[in-house]
Amino acid sequence: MEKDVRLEMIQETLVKFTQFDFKGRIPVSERGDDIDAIIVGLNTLGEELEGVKLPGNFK
Amino acid sequence: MIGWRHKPIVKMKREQKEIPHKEGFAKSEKLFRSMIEKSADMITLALPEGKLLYVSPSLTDILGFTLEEYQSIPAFKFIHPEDVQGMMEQMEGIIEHPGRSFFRQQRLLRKDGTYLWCEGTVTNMLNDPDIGALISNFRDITERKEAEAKLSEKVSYIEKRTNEFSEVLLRYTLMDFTEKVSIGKAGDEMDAIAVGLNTLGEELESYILQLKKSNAFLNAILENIPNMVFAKDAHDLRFVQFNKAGEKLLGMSKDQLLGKNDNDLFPKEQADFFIGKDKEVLAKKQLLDIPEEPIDTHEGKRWLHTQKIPILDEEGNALYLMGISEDITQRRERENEIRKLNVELENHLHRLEAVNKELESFSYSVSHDLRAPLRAINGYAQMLNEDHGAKLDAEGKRVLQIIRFNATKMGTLIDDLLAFSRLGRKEIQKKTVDMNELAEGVLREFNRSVTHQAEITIGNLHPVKCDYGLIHQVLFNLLSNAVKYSSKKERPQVSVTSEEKNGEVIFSVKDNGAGFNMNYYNKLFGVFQRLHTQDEFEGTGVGLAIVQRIIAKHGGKVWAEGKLNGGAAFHFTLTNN
Repeated sequence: MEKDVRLEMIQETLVKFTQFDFKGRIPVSERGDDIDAIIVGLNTLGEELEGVKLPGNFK
Repeated sequence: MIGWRHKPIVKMKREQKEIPHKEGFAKSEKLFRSMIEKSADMITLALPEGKLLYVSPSLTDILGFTLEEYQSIPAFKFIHPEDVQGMMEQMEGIIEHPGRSFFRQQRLLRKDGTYLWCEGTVTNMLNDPDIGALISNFRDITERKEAEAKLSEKVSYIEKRTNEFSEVLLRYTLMDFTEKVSIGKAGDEMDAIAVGLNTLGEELESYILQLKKSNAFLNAILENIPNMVFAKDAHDLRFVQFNKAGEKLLGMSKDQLLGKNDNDLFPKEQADFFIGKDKEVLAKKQLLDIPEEPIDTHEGKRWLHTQKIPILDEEGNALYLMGISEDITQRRERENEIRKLNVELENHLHRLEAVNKELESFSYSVSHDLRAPLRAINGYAQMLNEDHGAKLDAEGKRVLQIIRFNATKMGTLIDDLLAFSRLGRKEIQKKTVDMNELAEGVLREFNRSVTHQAEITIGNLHPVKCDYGLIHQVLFNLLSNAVKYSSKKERPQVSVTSEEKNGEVIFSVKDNGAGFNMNYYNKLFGVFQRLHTQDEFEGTGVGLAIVQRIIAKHGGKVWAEGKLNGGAAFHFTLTNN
């Protein structure tokens, strides 16, 4: 099976997230397969975490 | 490969067929047989009822059964039980239609009991006079099937893992980091992602935990700040935060306050004021101090000192507005009272100053005017003694002496009083003074005018800002007192020292003389007040009063310690600024 470049991008993004850099987003392909589902999930998580990191969120 | 048809269809009689060109046919058959027997494909000829007429050598090679064995066992036994039904159905489809064929994949039994995946065609050649049978042609597709199975396995593996990942990602998005994904043994990209996801989950879990702790800590501080602290959303200016002090001040709970704006909570005039200030803070993006603002609360109108601060994000956009308000109602009332009292005090002070001036003027003129008659008394007493002394008896002369002594004493008193009252009028002129030089000057002057036995030591004195002439007077008076009251000691000792303390310089003049009883301390600095009799020590009782007045005029303090027959120490403070 040919190596999917998206898997590499997912790994890279996970590493960045672990370093609290939540800015990266992965483009979703037109395949709409399971890997794309992970990418959508990861992008959503990135957006949420960026929100959590905002200063002044002292509620 | 037969037995799929239970009813007989056609009766084929190969032996009845004529062979027109026997030699040509034999040649052709040899050619085809050779091709079939060399072929890797498994070829059979069979009758509709299932009887095999021919199996190619490759079939026997691959599956292990001979023609005789195939002919002795029902055909469906050589097909995988799951594939028999499909085979029969497809066979039904061609059996009535000569020349028709079908394609299928199925598993065929091998002699060792295992099955082999094969694919191929079965063609109805029953009506062909040269064949009169069903021809099947199958080949081994095990490798392809295995590859397909692997592919399918891989697809389902990826699907399973990605589903797991998606589920965990969804939980992470909901800030639940407790769930972790399983890590397989494949060590592939999926496992790499799984490790990445778990690491991220652990990091975020720990971060969120820290964040919660930190928030709890900050919240505890916020809640315990005695001033009202609140925060508003920068966009709609609705309250998003209130601390306990805020609830107490406004008499409302957080539930009643949060989500509301100023218009919901306060009269229009106040709300407009608050909102106006909020907008100013958000526009300028800097702290705004509002020294006094009224606010209606459940306890009536209160006055607040408020500071409003914008809370910005990394790009400088306002997210929240924070406010800290101190209730200054009581302080404001006290300040107003103090202001009133100050005005009253100032009036009193003016009156007191006027009275003091009158008093000073009175005492000056009284002492000044008293000098003339006193001079006359003294002068005439002297004339009486000189001109008529011979006529006076001893008692008369003694009385005259007493008159002169008292007139002289009164003169000294008046001089001291005059000096004292002059102090009230004199403006002090401060400059930096080298106190060592001043003390040396005092000592020289003192030694010239007074004969004494005292051992006077002067320490290294701090410089101060003062009126040279007046402080000269102070030191002279204290030194002269110290020498006077220690004169009856066998070894009179006097010292002058200084030390710096709390921004002030304390000067001390100490002696080992007669000292004084601390019970009469309150009389020590009074005008004409004396703690010793004239017989013991001479003096008018003005010296220390002058010292106190001069030091007071400099803004300093004077005090003393003493013990009867145990020496005395006098201290005064001055500053060097």
